[in-house]
Parts: sequence; structure tokens; C-alpha cells
Amino acid sequence: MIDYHAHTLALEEASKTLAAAPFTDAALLSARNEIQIDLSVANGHAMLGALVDHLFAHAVSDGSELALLNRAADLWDRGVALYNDLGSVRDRFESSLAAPGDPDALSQFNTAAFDVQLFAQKAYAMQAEVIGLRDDVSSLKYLTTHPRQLDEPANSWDWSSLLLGRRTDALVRNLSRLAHDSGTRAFAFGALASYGANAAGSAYLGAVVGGPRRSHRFRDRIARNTIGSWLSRKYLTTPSPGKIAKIVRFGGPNRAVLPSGVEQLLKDALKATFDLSRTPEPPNLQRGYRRMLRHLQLIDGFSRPPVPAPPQSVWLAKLYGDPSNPPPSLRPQDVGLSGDPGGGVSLGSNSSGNPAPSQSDNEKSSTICGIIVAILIIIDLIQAFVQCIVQWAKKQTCTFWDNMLLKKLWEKDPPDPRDQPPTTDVTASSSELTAMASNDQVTQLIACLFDIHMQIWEALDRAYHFLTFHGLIYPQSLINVPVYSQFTSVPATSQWPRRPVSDPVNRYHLYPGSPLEHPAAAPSGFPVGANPDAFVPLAASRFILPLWEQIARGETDTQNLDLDADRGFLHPCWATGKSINEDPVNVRTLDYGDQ
Amino acid sequence: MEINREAIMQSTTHHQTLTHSGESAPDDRPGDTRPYLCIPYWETSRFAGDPVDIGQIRPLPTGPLPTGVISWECPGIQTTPYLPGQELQVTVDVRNSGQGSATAIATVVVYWAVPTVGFAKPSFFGATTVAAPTMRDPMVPGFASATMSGVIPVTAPNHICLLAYVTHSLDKANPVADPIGDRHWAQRNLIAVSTKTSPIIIPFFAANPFDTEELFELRVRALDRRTLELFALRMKFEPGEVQPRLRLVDGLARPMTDQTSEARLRLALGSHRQRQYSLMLDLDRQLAPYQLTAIEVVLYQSKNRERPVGSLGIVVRGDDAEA
Repeated sequence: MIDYHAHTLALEEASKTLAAAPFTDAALLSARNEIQIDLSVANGHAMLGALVDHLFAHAVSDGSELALLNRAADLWDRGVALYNDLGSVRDRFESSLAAPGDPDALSQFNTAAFDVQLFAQKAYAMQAEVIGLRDDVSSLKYLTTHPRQLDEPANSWDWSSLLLGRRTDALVRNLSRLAHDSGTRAFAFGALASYGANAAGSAYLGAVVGGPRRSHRFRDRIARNTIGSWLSRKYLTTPSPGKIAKIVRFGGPNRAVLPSGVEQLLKDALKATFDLSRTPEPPNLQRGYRRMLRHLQLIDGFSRPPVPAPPQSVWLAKLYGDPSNPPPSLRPQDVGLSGDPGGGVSLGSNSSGNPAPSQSDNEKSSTICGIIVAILIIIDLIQAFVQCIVQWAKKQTCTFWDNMLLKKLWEKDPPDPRDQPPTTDVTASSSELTAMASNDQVTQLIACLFDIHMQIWEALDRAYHFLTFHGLIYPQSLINVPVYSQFTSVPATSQWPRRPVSDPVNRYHLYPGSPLEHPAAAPSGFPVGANPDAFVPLAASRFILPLWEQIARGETDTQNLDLDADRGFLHPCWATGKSINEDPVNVRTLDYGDQ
Repeated sequence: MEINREAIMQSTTHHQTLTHSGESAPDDRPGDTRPYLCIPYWETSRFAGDPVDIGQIRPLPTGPLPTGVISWECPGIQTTPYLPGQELQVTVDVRNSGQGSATAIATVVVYWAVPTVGFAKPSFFGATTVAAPTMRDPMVPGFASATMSGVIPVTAPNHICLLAYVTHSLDKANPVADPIGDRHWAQRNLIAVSTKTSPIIIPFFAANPFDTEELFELRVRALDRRTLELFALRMKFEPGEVQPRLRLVDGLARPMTDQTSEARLRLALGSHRQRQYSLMLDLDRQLAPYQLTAIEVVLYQSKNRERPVGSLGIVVRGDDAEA
């Protein structure tokens, strides 16, 4: 099952391939004329059809992934807002302390002195939420095991798995047969494109993952997202997820509604394709539709802010004027290798990278503890600022400040998250501001705020990677990093598919080294080194157009292809004779009418 | 969407190296995801199969190009034309070859100095930040660039040295300015003289970058033939067929060495102290306007004769003034 981007590209490619096809048959010419009109007037329906597999996936899910994504998006937005707040605080501190005689200087300083405390409070309040989100996401429980891998009979499979593994071709044909107007015909064409895109794209996915989705669901998820990012970068006209959401959104401004014609078409087609007495109740499609829209909107919202501006030039000269005396950093110097506390690794022993996925890409290296580190440093820094401002105003050196710079932050107990730091009145007068401006420790404060600002940006970047690595959002600009780039080029391997790995949470960043699942199969016809753009035109020319022609001509000699390419490229829907864990697996190819 | 149909099923991008999960020997501990920064002295391969500069080879390799590196001519530092008192834009390239996937916000700081071999107290020029994503494959060129502008005072000489470092709180630059030995530091000279006058006199400082008094040896020589040839090509000139005669004099114009093809001088310098010398340079023939030659002044720490601690390059061009 491929991602949103690949589906929209496959639909576009299918439309172009159809338009360019050298038909002479009058029936085909007429059918093409009709569908081209339908597609031009009902583009949203067509794209919705192309995403029909995602619609069902959202409809059958327990909603936990979307709920996590909601929490992540909320925290992300607040984190970016805090980051921007700090930029404003820094700017006001730097301006007022650089020119304390300016008319605005005093109010700038005093508002900044108050806002920096609010900033610390807001950051502190997020701590527990960040830790909670990290723990909930890290388990990857929202990516559930495929029912085939649990040896569940098909009559108890959820509808998402069922539509990818049973009567796939038949459903496409029934959707086309039952469509009765431009909207439903465009939707059916989109579903046909979805079928072809999954048949070709899942084969590619299986090849780069090392096995099918049911065996490597974590790895499959980041591969799916990476391929989507790769394609959207290569084909710049690909709509963003937010744009896709707008294209496929129907209903009033307050409530999105799956078009009734589409909903009825899907219900009728399911009834015509499956014996519903041997399946679970069809899912709530309206719920799935609204979840899908929300999902598309949320994954579009994770943009990293611009990097922090350096301090104003007058401060830069003070901070960096003497290369032998660089400004201080409050980053704990006994951090772990991943930049998180507690590793006890000395600085200076940094190691350079490796072009293949490695230990530095594993689950434990992809945490979001950087945020917690930054929050605790902020608390310390603001506490010192409040303690010292009175002494700085008297042109005195503050010993509390020196102690803060000297102490090892991680050797003390972290503050209790329930003890929110108080706000203290630190209003300064003009003369006090002037006195502070020349204090070396105030220059260090400017440096520390800059340092914290950079740490927060890096913490946001790590959080972005964390969400990407756990399959919640797209990697986008990260796709050249080895842990993602491994999925955009077909590897050289002669043994496929691999069985599930033990401890997959800690190993899914690596190509599986688990035993072969017999009988061995060929994952795809893609050559070694093929990039994701290989499967999109293949989907159109090999699957979508031929099946469309058959439907238009009333021919019926195709197979139901497994849309997870579970046993490799072009493999029909299949069932296990006994258990999926047998060696070899008893692969029983299903007849066209089998469910 | 433009799709190359002929490429379907025939894509030939580089083959991927498989790294297996290794069912028997997992390493589930956190990996090192800290940055590994450098200002690259070679941004593309120097020869076939050569990785780009990721900072692992320090001290910088000496010897003839292309395996050797000109330490005073880092291509990772670029400038607009320099005139004292006018705005100068400096761009510094940064490569982060760290592991993991994190982007580091690196700080880039630039200094300028009068011609100096070894840097004691360079003057601050500017500083800025740059987002440096990891670039883990050393066979693939790439870097992030930081650009800053400033004005070097009108009182500054026509020829200066630029010195830059990149730093991060998890990958700090050494506080000693050491372009040869520390991957975070780099140097570029903006020194070029013409053969209009003879002998050519180039004043410079020898400086101790260390916190302790040190003994040094100053060595002055022309670039060897092959290095000069490659350097001239890089500068879009031709190498001159000249034999420079060199002599060092002190700040009072007293000769410190004989006139020779390679001058050497031993000296002691206190912590961060510097001493002025001049190089008197005689060429046995004129350079054509399209030719150049280059002299290298290198400061060695005496307790480790093979460890250069500073260098300075002087490029002599043929006089191209219109008649």
C-alpha cells in the first residue's frame, strides 16, 4: 500500500497514458471521451478514488495514530511559537542593552525580562506532554500487525486488509460497473488508478523493505513515506497533503461529508464483490473520510522555522572578538552520543558518518530528549537571570551566575514538573539598565540566550526526525539521509522475502537479516538501483490502462492481484494452507471468485 | 509530470549497500549523532577514488598537489574583491559529516589579520549561523554556506589573511587558531603582489598562537614545480619559470638569513606574541602578465619539526599594468 503522493501521481499518469493511447476501437474511443469529461469535471472525486485504500485504512483504524499526530501537531505548533517568542525576547534584550539610552530601551528590556519568564513557564509546562508523547510514539503500537501474520482467517480481517488482499480486481470492476454519473465514474477511475499504483508500488516497496508489509510493518511505513517524499520532490507539481485535502474535501465549511453518491457506490460495490455474511460489518466510511482529511491536514503542518539569527553585530564582536575566549554554552558537556543527557561521553571524540544505515540511526538515537534538555537549561538560565539582575544593576558580579555556568546540570535532580517556575518582578530603571549594559555577565546572558535558541531549533529538528522515523510524518528534506535513502534505490539481493525480525522496534532501520520465508520469490521486476519513479509509469501502462480497456470492452480475463505484493510482483491474492509460520509457507493462490 | 518512459525498469543509479539488521548481534545502544564539522580544504575529489574533505585528515596533508593541500588557500572561504574600507562579503562553506540524521546549527566566525604566519590576535570580522545537515557519504560532495559582510578598516594593508572557524556546542573548535591541525579552522590569504618593483618586499608577522612560550622555525620557499602548476591552473594563470631568491629581514631591516632559494630562521615567541619580519624577494627574470609564482612561509613548532602551526602564501604575478 503506497502513500498519498504516489497515488496522486499514478492518477495523473493514468490520465495522461489514457489520453495518449492510440485507440481505433469505437467503443474505447467513446469510453475514453466520456471518462475524460468526467475527470475534467470531477477531479476531486477521481483523487478521492485514488485514495480509497487510505479511506478504508482510516475507517477501520482505532484512531490512535491520528490522535498521536494531533498531539504531536499541537506540541509542534506550541514549540515553534515558543521558539519565535525567544527570538523576540533576544532581540529586545540585545537592542536595549546595546543602546540603553535609547527612548525605547527601558520598555524593551522590562517587557523582555517579563516575557522571558513566561517563556520559561510555557516551556516547563510542555515537559510532561513531550515525555508522554515520546513514550506513546516510541512503542509504535499504532502500526498494528497484519491479520495474515496472526493466522487470522480472511472472514475476520479488517476491511483495509481485505480490500488489499481479496477480490481486488473484482472490486475495481464493480465500482466501474455501478458508477452512474460523472462523480461516481471519476471516483471509480481513481480507484482503478489506486489498484494499479498499489500493484506496482507495493512490489517496489517490498523490494526496498526486504519483505512485505505484513512482515515488516514499521520499516514498510517509513519506506512508504520516504517514497512519497522522493516523488513529491522529483515531481514538483505533486500537490502537498494539505492541497490534496482541499481537492478531496466535500461538504459545508463546518463539516466535511463524503459525497453520498460515492458512499452508496462503495457500499453497493462491496456488496457486489464480497459475500458480506463472511466479512465484518463494513466500516463507517464517513468517519474514515473525515479522519483522512484531518490526517492530510496535520501531516502538512510540520515545517521547521528559520534558523536563529546570530546576536546583533555589537554583541557578536564582544562574544567572538577573542578566538581564545569563546562564549559559554549551557549545553551539558557530559551528554550522550545522541546529544541527550547521561551518556558521559567526552566532547572531541565525535565520529564522522557512514553512508549506510547504522547504529546512529536506531530507535534509541532518534529520541526527542533534546527538548527536555533545552527546557531544563532554560529554567536554570532564567532562574540565574532573576537572581542576578539586581547585582548587575549595581555593577556587581553575580556569583550565582558563575555557579550556573560552572555546574553540571545533570548532576542535580530535575525540578518537579508540577512546580511551575514563578514570575518575579525584575523591572529595571534607566540607570540600572545602563549599569547592566557594560557587565560581562550580561554579555554572557546574550550568548546563553543565543545558545538556547539554537538548542531549541535543534530540538525541533530532532522532534521532526523522531516523528518521521516513527512513520507519523513524511521525511521531506531528510530523504538523502541514509536511514531514508535506503528506500529510494532497489538493493541488490537474491533472497526475498525476509521473515519478521526479532525485536523489530530496535532494528527496523536496517535491512532485515532474518531468515528467508520459503518459498522464495522475486520482489519485483525492478532492476537494482531503480528509483521510485520506476513504478509510477509502470502502474499506468501495465495495470491501469489494460484493465480500463478490458472494462470498456466488457472483457474479463484478469486476476485479483495482491495489492501488498505480498508474495512479490504480479502475485495474485492468496491464502495460507495452514500457518504463515510454516516453512515453507503453504501458498494457495485463490481463484477469481474466492474470498 | 515528466516521466522518462525509456528509463522505466532500466534505472541505473548507484547500487545500494545493504546493511542488515544482524539478527545475531544487534547494537541497540544510542549511536553518535553529534555533528562532525569542518571547513573543507577540498570540496571535490582531488583524484580518482578520493573522498572529499570531511575533516578527518588533519594536520593537512603536505607535499605536492594534488595529494598535498595548500593550507593558506582554503577554497571553502570565498570573498568579493577586497579593498580596505569597502564592504567585503565573505562566504564560508561548512560540511557536517556527523552520523544520525540531525541538522546542526553551526556558528561560523571570521577574522582578518595582517599577513601573519601563525595567528596570535586576529581581528574580528563577523559571525553568523548556518544549518548544516548531515552529509554522511564522503564520496558525495556537499556543504552548507554561511555568508557575512563587513568592512575591514581603511587603515588595513592591501593584503590580508582571512581566518575562519566553525563551531557547535557539541563539536567545538579549538580556541587556538590552527587551520592546519584543527578541522574547524581554515585560512585564506588575500595577498598578491606584482613584479613592478624589485626586489619585492613583503612585511609579515610571525605569531605564536599558543598560551605558552614556544620555539619555532620559520621556513620560506617557492612552491615546487608541480604544486605551482596546479595552483596556477586553479588561479587561471600559468606557472612562471623563475627562480626566486629569498632573504628574511627583521623589523629594523637587518638581514636574518642569506639570500637563498629556501630561507630558514629559528625564533622564540612568548604566549600570543608576534614579531615583524619582511621577505625580500628577487626574481631572476620578469614574469609575463599571465604568469605567477608563489612563495610559502611556514611556521613549525620546534619541538615537533614536522608539525606546521601556521602558514602564509605570497602570490607574485606578472605586471599587467597597461602601458
